[in-house]
Amino acid sequence: MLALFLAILPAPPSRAETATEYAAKAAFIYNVALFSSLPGANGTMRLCVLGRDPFGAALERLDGKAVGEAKMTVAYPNSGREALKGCQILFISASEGDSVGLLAEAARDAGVLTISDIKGAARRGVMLELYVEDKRIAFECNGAVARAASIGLSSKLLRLARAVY
Amino acid sequence: MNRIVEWINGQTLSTKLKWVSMATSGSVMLACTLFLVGIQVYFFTSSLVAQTQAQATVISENLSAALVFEDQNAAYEMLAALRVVSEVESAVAYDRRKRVFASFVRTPGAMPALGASGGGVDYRLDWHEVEVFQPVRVKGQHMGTIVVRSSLSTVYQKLALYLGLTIPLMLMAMGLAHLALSRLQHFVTAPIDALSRASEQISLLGDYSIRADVTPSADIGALARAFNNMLDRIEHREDELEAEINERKRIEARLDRLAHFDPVTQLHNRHFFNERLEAALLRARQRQRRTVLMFIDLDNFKAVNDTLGHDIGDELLRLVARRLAATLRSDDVLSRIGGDEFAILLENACDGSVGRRVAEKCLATLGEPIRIQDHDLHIGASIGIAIYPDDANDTHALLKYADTAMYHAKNSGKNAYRMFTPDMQDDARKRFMIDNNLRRALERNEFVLHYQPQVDLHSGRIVGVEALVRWLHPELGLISPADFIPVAEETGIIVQIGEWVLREACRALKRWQDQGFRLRMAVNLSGRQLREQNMVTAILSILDEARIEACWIELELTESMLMDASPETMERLHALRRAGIELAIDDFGTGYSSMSYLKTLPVGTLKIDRSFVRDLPQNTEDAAITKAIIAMAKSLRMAVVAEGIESQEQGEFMRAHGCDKSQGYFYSKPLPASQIAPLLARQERKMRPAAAEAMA
Repeated sequence: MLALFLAILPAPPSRAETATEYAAKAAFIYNVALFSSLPGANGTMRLCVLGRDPFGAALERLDGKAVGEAKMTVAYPNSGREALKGCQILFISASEGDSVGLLAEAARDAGVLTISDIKGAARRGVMLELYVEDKRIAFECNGAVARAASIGLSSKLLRLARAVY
Repeated sequence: MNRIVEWINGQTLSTKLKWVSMATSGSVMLACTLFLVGIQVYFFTSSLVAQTQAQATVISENLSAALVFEDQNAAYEMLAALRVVSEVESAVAYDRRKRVFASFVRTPGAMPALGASGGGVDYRLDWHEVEVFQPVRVKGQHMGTIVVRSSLSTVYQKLALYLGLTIPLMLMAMGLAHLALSRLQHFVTAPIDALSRASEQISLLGDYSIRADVTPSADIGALARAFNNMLDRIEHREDELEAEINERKRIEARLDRLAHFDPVTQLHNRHFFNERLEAALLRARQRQRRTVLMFIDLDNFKAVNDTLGHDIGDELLRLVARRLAATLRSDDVLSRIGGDEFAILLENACDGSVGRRVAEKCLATLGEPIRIQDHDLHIGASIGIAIYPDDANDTHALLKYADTAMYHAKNSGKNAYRMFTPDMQDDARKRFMIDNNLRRALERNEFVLHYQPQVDLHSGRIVGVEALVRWLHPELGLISPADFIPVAEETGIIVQIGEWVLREACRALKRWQDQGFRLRMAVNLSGRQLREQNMVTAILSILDEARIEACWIELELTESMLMDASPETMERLHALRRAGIELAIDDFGTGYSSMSYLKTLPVGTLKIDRSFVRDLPQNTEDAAITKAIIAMAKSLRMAVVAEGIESQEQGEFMRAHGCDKSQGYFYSKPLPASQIAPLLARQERKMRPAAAEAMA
């Protein structure tokens, strides 16, 4: 499945394109936070980036930003375990592509909202999979996993999803 | 505006009542409808606003994610869902920077920019649309604004529908109200109608016995009772008035009859006659015909009235009227215009001969003796005739001329008629002038007495004089007694003149007696004096005043005066005789004295009228009459005096046949008083030698 995704993946984007893309993705993640109700998020909403950080400076702007009554903080855990302990939102970087299934499963159990831009991530248990479509960020959603994790994803958000599993 | 008010005033009460009720209920209904419409508008509008707000809220909720994730397609889809809501004109989603993010517009047009109004206001409402501003918030963050505009046209449609239902309903209600009011107002106006019908009937028929029949309600019933009471009073008053008017009409008719009819003879009176005369002259003028006016004055009527009483006098008038009427044609007018005066009007006469013929017939019929209660009354008449237009052209003059002619007839010896002639008018004028001057004549002492000696035929001596009055007017000169005595008789001044004459004669007589002449004074007495109540005392006091013995005075009366004399007058004559005054009948033989009557009179002397003497001694008839009078006087032991002796033969004739005394121009004409004494003195001187001779 991953092979299929990679096979059809076009040539890797340039650095400038990548920066813009991840700024949009950072904004996307923030917006998702707005339309989600996350268990254990009281006062702070921690966004963890697991793996190699693709955002660069883009996430810095989210750090300390209000999400409703909560405040968003950004953390970079070293391991999956660490990440599942203190984070409400976990971005699984492309570098963690091999263990994404396990992480998703663990996050589901831990009640952590998982987001990834790894191809086919949604199918492998990640709740939100981001991708670029017509120079815009689109996403697919795995509602069943989210429900299992007791994470409320707003129906309004789900309506925007390209696909819901 | 005045015409509207006039029109309203002209409507009946029921119509006014109906319209007032209609107007009241109509305006209440209209007010209610307007109120309901207002409420409806309010409800419709607020529900539209609420609905629009709800839609905007739903949209903003649903659209928030699309807005946040900048998913325009999704936003369009969501907005387009409003298509099914017909009121929504447009829905626009603005992003955080107030740029149009997505929109739905039902009818393509300008996309409204989100103005400043989009700030704090929830919605904006004007007459055609409502605009709702709904902010999009996600977790308390402002993400953009949704603006939904809804048209009010549906509100208006609903309103139109509502009005479309209510207006017919209202009209129906008004129609029902009109129907009900038309039925109900009858109860209010029926009594008033009854009253007005009653008054109308009354004014139409003039029948005040009509009454208004109205049910006894509190207010109009009272009005009707008052109305009926008023009618009672009017009816009562009407009856009284009618009775009074009838009474007045009756009296008026009587007065009218009295005004136009003579109650004694039932002939028309003077008033009516004057009217008829006026009309007759008018007709005569138009047709150019003659009209004859006759005045009839009864001779001797006064004597009948005085001696036999008014009842017989009235009866006489009635019979005279009947006789006169019988001689006239039916269309001739006969009226009684005075005590014993009648007037006759003959229309369409050809000439004066008609008047003459009628006058002769009248005289003939009145010449017949009239028998009333065993009295055979001999009534004569004097008739004066004047003719229109020969004598006069107007009623006034015609009446005057007929009267004048009548007087002429009377003065000419009664029982005669005279046609008016212009010289009569001169006479009348003279009479008028005399009448005017007579009164002052006494005051101015214009009368003088002349004395005509009376000679004793046996001795040839002057034994008496007759006092004859003369009027010497300063301008008109000497006026004959024949002219002024009748006028003085008429006016009554003859009484004063008579007294003056007697007083003056007594004074003269006294002078002569004082001079030693034995004379008797003859004084004429007027019929008018004879009728004076105090005549006897007046005469005796004059004699006393002049210290003249009664036996030297002889009062001369005419035959007619004695014939007309009433018992009272007779008594006065007897009183004079008793007092010693001698009475003589003047102008004897001209009247109609009956011998038996003469016998009873207190008269001592007869004076033979000059008309019998004039042709003596040649005229044998006059001679026979004269001799007969003298013989009769002698047999009645009366003295006889001959008047108008103008010759020796006449004097001789008288003396030869036993006449006692004579007077006339042969002896002496009437002389002024101053010439009497010398005349007497001359006679004395003449007689004395003769007497001496006789003695010797």
